[in-house]
Amino acid sequence: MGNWYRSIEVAVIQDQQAGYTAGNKFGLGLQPGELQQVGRDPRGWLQQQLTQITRVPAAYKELEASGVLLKRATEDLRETRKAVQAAKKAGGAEVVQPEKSGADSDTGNDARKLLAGNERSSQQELRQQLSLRMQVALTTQTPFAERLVRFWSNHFSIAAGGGAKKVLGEIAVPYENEAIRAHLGGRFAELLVAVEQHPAMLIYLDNASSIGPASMAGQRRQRGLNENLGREILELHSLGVNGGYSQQDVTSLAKIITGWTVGGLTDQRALRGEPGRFLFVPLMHEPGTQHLLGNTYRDDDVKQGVRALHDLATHPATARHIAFKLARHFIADQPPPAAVDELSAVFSKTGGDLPSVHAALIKLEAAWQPEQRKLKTPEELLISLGRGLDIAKLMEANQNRNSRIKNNFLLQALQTFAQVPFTAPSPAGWPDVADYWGGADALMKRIEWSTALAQRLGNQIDAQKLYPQLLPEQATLKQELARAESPMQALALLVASPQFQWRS
Amino acid sequence: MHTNRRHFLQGVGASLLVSVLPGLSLAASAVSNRRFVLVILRGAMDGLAAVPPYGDRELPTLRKPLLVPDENLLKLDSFFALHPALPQLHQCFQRKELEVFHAIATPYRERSHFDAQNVLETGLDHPDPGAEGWLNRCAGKLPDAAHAAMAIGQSMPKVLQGSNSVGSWTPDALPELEDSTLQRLRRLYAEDAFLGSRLEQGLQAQAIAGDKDMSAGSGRRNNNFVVLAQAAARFLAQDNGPGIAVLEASGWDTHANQGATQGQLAQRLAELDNGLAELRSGLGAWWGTTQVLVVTEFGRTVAMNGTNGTDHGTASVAFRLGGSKGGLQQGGSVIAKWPGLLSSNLQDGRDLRPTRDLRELFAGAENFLLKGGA
Repeated sequence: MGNWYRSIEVAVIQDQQAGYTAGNKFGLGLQPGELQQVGRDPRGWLQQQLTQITRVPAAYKELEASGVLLKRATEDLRETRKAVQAAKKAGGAEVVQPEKSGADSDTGNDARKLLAGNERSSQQELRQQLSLRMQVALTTQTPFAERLVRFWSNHFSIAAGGGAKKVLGEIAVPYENEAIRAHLGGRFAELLVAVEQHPAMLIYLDNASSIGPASMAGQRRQRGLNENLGREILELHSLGVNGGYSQQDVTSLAKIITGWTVGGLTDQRALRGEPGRFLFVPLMHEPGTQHLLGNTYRDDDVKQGVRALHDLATHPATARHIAFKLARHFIADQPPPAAVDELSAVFSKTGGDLPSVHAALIKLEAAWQPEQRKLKTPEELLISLGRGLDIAKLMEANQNRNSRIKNNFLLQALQTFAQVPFTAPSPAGWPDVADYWGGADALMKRIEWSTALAQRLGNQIDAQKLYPQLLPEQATLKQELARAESPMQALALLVASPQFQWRS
Repeated sequence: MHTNRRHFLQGVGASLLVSVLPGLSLAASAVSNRRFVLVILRGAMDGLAAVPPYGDRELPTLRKPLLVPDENLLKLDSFFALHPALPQLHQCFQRKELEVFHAIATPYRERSHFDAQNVLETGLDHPDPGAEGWLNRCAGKLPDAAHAAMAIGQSMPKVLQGSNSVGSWTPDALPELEDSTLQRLRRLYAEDAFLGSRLEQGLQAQAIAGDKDMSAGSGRRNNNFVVLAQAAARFLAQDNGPGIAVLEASGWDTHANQGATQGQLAQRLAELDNGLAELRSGLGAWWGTTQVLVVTEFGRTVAMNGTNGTDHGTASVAFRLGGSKGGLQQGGSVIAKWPGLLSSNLQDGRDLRPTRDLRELFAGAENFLLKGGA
């Protein structure tokens, strides 16, 4: 071979660490063969993904819009409740001797069955969406863009709950696509407004039923203000908990966004609107001028809130809060202050232009240093495992055979590791620090699960060949892989290795 | 006539004919009356520890700390004995339901686990990643090949991979973490400043919780093989069950702290002993026409290494168990042309030299399955 060949080889090797970082830390975990593609120009590979960030993945093609799903879900729930009432009434009329008759418990059963059936279809819808979402993560060719979508989705976390919040599970992924993904090509202000006006957020943080005390509805009924969304917008979504706001600001913002609700949630005429879509109800809106963080907002209906959100979105505290969270996600749990400053400056200078902020992430030197690392969350671990072992292809190949791995096994594992998407324990979303995820018991669980998976796949995969495609060379791991007592054990050592637990 | 009929069955599709012409089912069931179980011990079992040639005077000079005192051994004859962790195998031997083959190996003479297991499972002279498993080929020769073989365990072993479709069963519960894998992971985690201490904490917590034995690095007891053996027996004992099943047990790569009467290897042997006993009792009346072959990819060095263990070697031991019609030739005997342990007799000056090709037993198994002979 001539010298030209050697020089190419050297260039590729020099960029290799950056290739691993691009694929594993910025992306969702390298797939076999991906490094060759990424390694040529890791930063360019990331940069070009930003131009495609708003594109909805093909796997979601069949997924219906949240408006349609929400309309159907609320109607179903209402029908079920009516049927339950009817069943109870019918049962009550027939009961002659309550203490002896089985009729009462039968109607109880009927009612329970109806409710359980409703619950089941809710859960089924969420499972289907999560299955698609996993498929997207495993197969996407723009994993950095997909990671950003999930970062923002976690920043604006929603969680399916009980009662009226059950329906959130049915619109979780549509919410992520409509409110978040669709707005990552623009300014943070547009993203913020889209999120706070999305039915999912309005239901999740109770604003759909918040009523201005001095509004017509407030005067007529005994119900009033719910501060939940107002508070979380300030504390979590924009300024941050140390963003310098007071309880008075919380109350003001809550009043400003009264009347922001969802069409079709109840039978009431005023609340009909377009079912399942954002609806501004003047009757519920607190009249009058409000003061928020020293600014005055005159009452011009829905615009009052939109203007307030725009001001919050460009506030210096918001710039710092967002910059810190991004730096923590893409560099380390304790990111260097200089990196946070840099991101914050770009955010402020560009008026919160997200593509500029995301591009600034790629330019942060600290993000590329291998010693700056992030412990994978369980979901990240499972996704990187699925990508690294090319599970999607294995499942396809095994479709009509006795498969070692069931299609939903990654979803089941999410349950095992207690990180089912859209069930975060608080509106702050899933914690993004190693101390939360890296407990001794959690680590044992990871190791046990990963080694078990490896035992099922080990003789379809050559771990020694796969290793350099996924992780940079490390002497001890290389040696242990070579010395493993079986192909299954070699794969177990690779996927349960400490190296595989980190994004770096 | 009988042979012709079988060929005919293979050509046309046995299951169809059996249902249409009940008279012919005899031909098929005559074959499926037999059961063959292959047990693969991955990691290279130390044959000199499992079946010590206590009559060979060289043995103590090379591996004294790894030897079980003579009085604790389960003697097979005046030269060979079983490790005391194999009492149920010893009973089989006394019932003439066990043949012990010593100084046996595949033709592979290098020392890579992966390549050696490939040769063990393809039955070829040399490793070939693309080749079919020898039991898959064998299953193809049985009537109703599609239902002839079954993998019991976490993965489809190479020996059953190939063009004939093979059934499988995997336990619902995740397999327990094998001690040998855990010890290797501990070495890796020791280098991680954040996770290293957490792994040790996790292991301590498990030890305190009492479900794992972490004492003195002797490793955790686990039950994976016994669970598989019980499942295999359930499948094989059905009238329409598979003729072939494959089980695996891992953790035999005892480079460090191998132990002697007790310890890591003794635990592996005890689990094997229990599993084989479960298989035998679970098969019930089927045991009479069952053959079980226990093999490993290679043996281990005769001498002890610097970490109280043994390194990759060449010849080892194979066990063949079976009932009265299990195709055994000399039940209750050790079958070996003993090469001796003098250094001049050792393979490459370090390993037990093979004097028998393991593949003779593969051929024997196929013969048993197809004709009932040994």
